[in-house]
Amino acid sequence: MAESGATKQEILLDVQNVKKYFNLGHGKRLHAVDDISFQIRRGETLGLVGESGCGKTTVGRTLVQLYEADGGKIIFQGKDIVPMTRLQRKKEQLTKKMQMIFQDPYASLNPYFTVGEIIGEGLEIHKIGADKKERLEMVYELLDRVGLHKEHANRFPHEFSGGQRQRVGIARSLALNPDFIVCDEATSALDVSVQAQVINMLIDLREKMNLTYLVVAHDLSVVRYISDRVAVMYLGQLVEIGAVDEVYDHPMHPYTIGLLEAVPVADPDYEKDRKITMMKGEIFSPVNPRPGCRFATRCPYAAEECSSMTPLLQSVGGDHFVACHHPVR
Amino acid sequence: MEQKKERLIDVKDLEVSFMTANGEVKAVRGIDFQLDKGETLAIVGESGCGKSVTIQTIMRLNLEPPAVIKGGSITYTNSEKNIKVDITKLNNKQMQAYRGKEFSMIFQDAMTSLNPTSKVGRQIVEAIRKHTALSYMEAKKNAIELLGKVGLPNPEAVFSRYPHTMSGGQRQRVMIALALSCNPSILFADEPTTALDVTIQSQILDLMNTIKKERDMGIIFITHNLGVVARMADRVAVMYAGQIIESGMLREIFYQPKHPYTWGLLGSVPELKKSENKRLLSIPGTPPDLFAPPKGCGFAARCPYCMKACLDYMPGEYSITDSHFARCWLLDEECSTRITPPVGRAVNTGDSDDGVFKTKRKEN
Repeated sequence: MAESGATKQEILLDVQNVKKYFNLGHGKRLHAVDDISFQIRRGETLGLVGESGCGKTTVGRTLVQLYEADGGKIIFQGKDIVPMTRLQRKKEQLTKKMQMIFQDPYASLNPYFTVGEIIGEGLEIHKIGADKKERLEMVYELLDRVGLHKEHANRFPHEFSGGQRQRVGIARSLALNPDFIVCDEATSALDVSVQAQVINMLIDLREKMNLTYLVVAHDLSVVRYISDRVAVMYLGQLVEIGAVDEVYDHPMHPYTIGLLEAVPVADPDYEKDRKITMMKGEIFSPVNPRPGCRFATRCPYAAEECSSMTPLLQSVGGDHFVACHHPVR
Repeated sequence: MEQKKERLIDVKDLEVSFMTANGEVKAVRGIDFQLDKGETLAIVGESGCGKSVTIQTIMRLNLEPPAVIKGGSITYTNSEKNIKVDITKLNNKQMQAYRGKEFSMIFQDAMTSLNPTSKVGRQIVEAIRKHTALSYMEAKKNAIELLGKVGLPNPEAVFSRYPHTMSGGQRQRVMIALALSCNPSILFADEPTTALDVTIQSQILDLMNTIKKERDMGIIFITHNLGVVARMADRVAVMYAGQIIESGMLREIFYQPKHPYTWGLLGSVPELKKSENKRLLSIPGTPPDLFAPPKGCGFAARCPYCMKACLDYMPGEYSITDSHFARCWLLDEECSTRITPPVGRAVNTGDSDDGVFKTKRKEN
């Protein structure tokens, strides 16, 4: 975990009212990301959690421009990247500065490429390094950095285990020396012992290369471990955001509370004494959502205004924001 | 002392191999475990350690060949129905009387385990009528009752829905209803909640616990999520490279683990509660290749405490208490090094009688 002094540092990424809708035809519109605002400071790790279908992956993909935002601003290093054309983005070298690590280490590596080609492709496109030989040296160094060997450069992805593949994916994302990396469920496909290796490595790399992460994950324990701040999403909107310890120890949104209570803890005595108020029902469809608080239908504290008025993110002290009409104190 | 419960399953020295084109994969290499009535046994371990193969062998779901039961026995006892049988000796036809009726199973992926072309109600009725003499209408009545029992709203409507119209959590509930339809005495659960969100997982685990209490079933639960183990299990067996390397009551495994692999496993889980130590313990390397399993201890290559004996000889089972044993040379009386577990999260080192416990080698 980084120092709390990070608060004074420059804002790397400023996300303002970003929206991403998918048209499904027949007048249906899926509100994957609906008016989201947050900031990420340089050197900081922001965790993004929520149930599947809440739009957390869409947020990550929109930030690295895999999706075009339908509204709002994404200000990266002082420039709004949403209205830019492809050419402008290329000029700004955004692909170099922003990278992504994907969830599935099997699907995200091209099976026809050797590991060396996968990692070196970005170097070649951006013409980094004088010649092939120099680029190869860089690939070797990257492999070394993620705990793989030189000899691995000539092998194909299928010759590796899941954990090793994920390391290749990480090496690829590091190749262009980025500032910002989106880790989309980067460790969820791995076994616990391998997951721990990869998490430790991500933390070491962050320190060494001065990286900024957005960690998208459904595993709340992993997010607590790796992040400085955490944002909780529900049906395309942020419901709570704040410093990790603050949100985990004093959650105020009923959804965050329910989510944290649902996580089983690997401590039998703690589990035995634990009182679990089960959150009822399941996440609703984000297609043409109704007005008001989207969590109201599952919320134990829902009052009248919750179904008519959309709650806005409001500070409940310092850096901790909650979008709820009746935050739990 | 607790009252002795009735034993349901007794697995002795079970060995299972797969004969593949590349040679023999020794997936399960001599394991022993028992399951009593009303008890939940959790089998934990990394992918490829043989945990799924073990329970699929008890259900005899592996295709044989390539799977071969090389040795050992699986004794299933049910005194109410006067059954005592060695599962390994049954043929497929005989096995059909047990699958679904005595044992049933819920799988990780409820979408691929339900038939997509048939309504869920029909699938449950089919199972009930296969094993009982009930008429269609009676079976339907039972099925609707079951669907209500597993917490599906409006069970009559659910009865005539197709699996693809339901969410993952709902499908898993249907799977549970299906598994319970013939009142089995053992429920196998192979990572039943891995594909689900935490909130839904919590609901499903709660449902399974309620059902277990109601029916006094035995549950064998496979998972790699140690949090789920802490919530569900009475006893835990830790598997590695086809062997049970440590087994004991829930608290024994979490608070007095004896095997270095268990230490690593417990230490590598990030904690939800605030923890003091910042770095996760991780286990370097990957599990051994089961085409050619190592001569000595399977974990030796990754073990930070590996000794010479570990590489050459397979460690036996050392019992720490009546219910707790581990396979590790560190526990041998002649082993001079006494190693305390690394300071980790759930690994309790301070106050316990660590280091002075008496071990004794199990006689086989």
